[in-house]
Amino acid sequence: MTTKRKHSPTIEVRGLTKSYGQTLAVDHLSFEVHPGRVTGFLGPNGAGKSTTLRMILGLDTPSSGVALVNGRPFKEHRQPLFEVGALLDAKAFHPGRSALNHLCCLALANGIDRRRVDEVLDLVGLTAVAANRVGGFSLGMDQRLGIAAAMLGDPHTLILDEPVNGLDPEGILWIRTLMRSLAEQGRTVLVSSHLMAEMALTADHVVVIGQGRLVADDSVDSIVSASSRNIVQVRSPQADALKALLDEVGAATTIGADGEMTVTGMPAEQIGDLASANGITLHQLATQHASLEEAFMQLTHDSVEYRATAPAHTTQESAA
Amino acid sequence: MTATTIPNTPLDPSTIATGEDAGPTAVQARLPLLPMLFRSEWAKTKTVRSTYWSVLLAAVAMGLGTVIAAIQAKSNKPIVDPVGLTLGGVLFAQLAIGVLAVLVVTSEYSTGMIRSTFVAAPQRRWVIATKAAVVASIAFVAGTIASLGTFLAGQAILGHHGVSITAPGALRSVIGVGIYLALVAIFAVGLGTIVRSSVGSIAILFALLFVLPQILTALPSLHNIAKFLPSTAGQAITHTAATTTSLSPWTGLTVLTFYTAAILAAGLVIVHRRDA
Repeated sequence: MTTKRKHSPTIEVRGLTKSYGQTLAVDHLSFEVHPGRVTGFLGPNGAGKSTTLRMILGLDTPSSGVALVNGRPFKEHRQPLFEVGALLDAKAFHPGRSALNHLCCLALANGIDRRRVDEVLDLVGLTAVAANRVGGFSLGMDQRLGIAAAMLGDPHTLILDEPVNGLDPEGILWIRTLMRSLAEQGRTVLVSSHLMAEMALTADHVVVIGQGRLVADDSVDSIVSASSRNIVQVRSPQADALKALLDEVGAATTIGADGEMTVTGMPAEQIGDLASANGITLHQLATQHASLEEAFMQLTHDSVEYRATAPAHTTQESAA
Repeated sequence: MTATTIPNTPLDPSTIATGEDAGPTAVQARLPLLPMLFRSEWAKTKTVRSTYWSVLLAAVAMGLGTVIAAIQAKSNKPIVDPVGLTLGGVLFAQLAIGVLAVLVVTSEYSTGMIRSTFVAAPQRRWVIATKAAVVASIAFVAGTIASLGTFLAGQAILGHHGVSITAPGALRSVIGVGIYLALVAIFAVGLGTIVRSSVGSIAILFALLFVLPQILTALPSLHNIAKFLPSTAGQAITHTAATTTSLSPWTGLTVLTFYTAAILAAGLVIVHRRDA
């Protein structure tokens, strides 16, 4: 593996747009996915995640824009299983076939050896049930079969759409461990989810979309801290006066029943300075520690506010 | 199904072959596309039960020709076309082969398999063309064998009214059944690709190949239209006596070939353009 490959993006999405009539499912989306880390692809249900992944994999044709995998559109790869493994949904197979036959059918389409089929069955722990019809599989086994199919060509890039959906804790842990170890081997892992807490545990980097548009493209750590900076808890005996001042400068304030004020859109330092300059006494000034879950809610519910305060980012121009 | 628990296999990252030190199985050999697709589609077809049921049903349907021969032999009526008579089961065999060919495409859409297929082989038009080639091969081989068996048994039952395989038009008709069923299979693959739904495709196929010809042939004034329908035109290949209600054997088969080429071409255009 060359140094170049490790640092250049393996997936590039540029101005990707998909419209269904008047509806824009994906709206001029641009981002890159790099090797050696798990990239979470986040967004509420219906944000356009699956449509984007389907366009990357050549299943849906973009209305405009391009999606490149290893520098080329997916459809131009003749043996794509060697480039990209995909888990699109848990039931992309004929229930009447055995797990072994299902994998053999796919392997043959890329000239992959039968021994590799046995290897991936072993990798996902389905060897014992390889001869069983997949129609009788549990959801967890379906997911394992999907992962086995994705690993057939030993690809450098993996795309997983909601892989933990409906799994029990053991299955979730298994997928999480798998994704981490694949990224540690230097592979590119793009995983979509609407479960932020899950991504906080798995992803290094997140691409967040809302209503088909890019909302954030940053490391998990900086997204959480950027959000945290924006939620500040304030207590003051002159709360009303402070609220008036904050309203004037455009920060959003809410006062709870216990008199605690929550300020968003202005860092704690500025609130403190503002209060001091106007002679307002503060009893508490604390930046709230946000979880990725909260950060996500904030991002997707008020993306305009985030973009106004977030550090400039090269890929964000497309969302503007 | 009893074994529905997840096998408790902890993941050992060392078992995942890496790009650097992968075993020989992970080495990518540059192989020609079509042989890979053909082997894959062949494996798909032989690993589902519906294939075996359909072929068996087609063979049984062809065998109906012997029953027709037995009835005819007892009636003592003059026999105009002893060859075409014993091959009459093709009327039903085409439905079994048609269902098989439709399902080869539509079952992938109904189960979601099509997404796995197109991610492994994004050359969608070649995938559909390969499916057509696979079911056409099965239809030709199974159809010709069943046709020959029925012909030989049927002629034996007809006794002195029967003819041998060396009789004029006999061999052409027997092999013609295989060719006819292969064309029907390709037609059905094209139709299934356009319609995508199993029920919808089968309904349209049965109406086109079976119901419509029955209705139009029953009305003498419409014979000139009826003989140009795909199935009536194609089945002319099994006739050894000239009739006014059908085209000549090779003309008829050519007409069916045009229909088949048109519907397959439409399917290929659509599968390329439409989102999977």
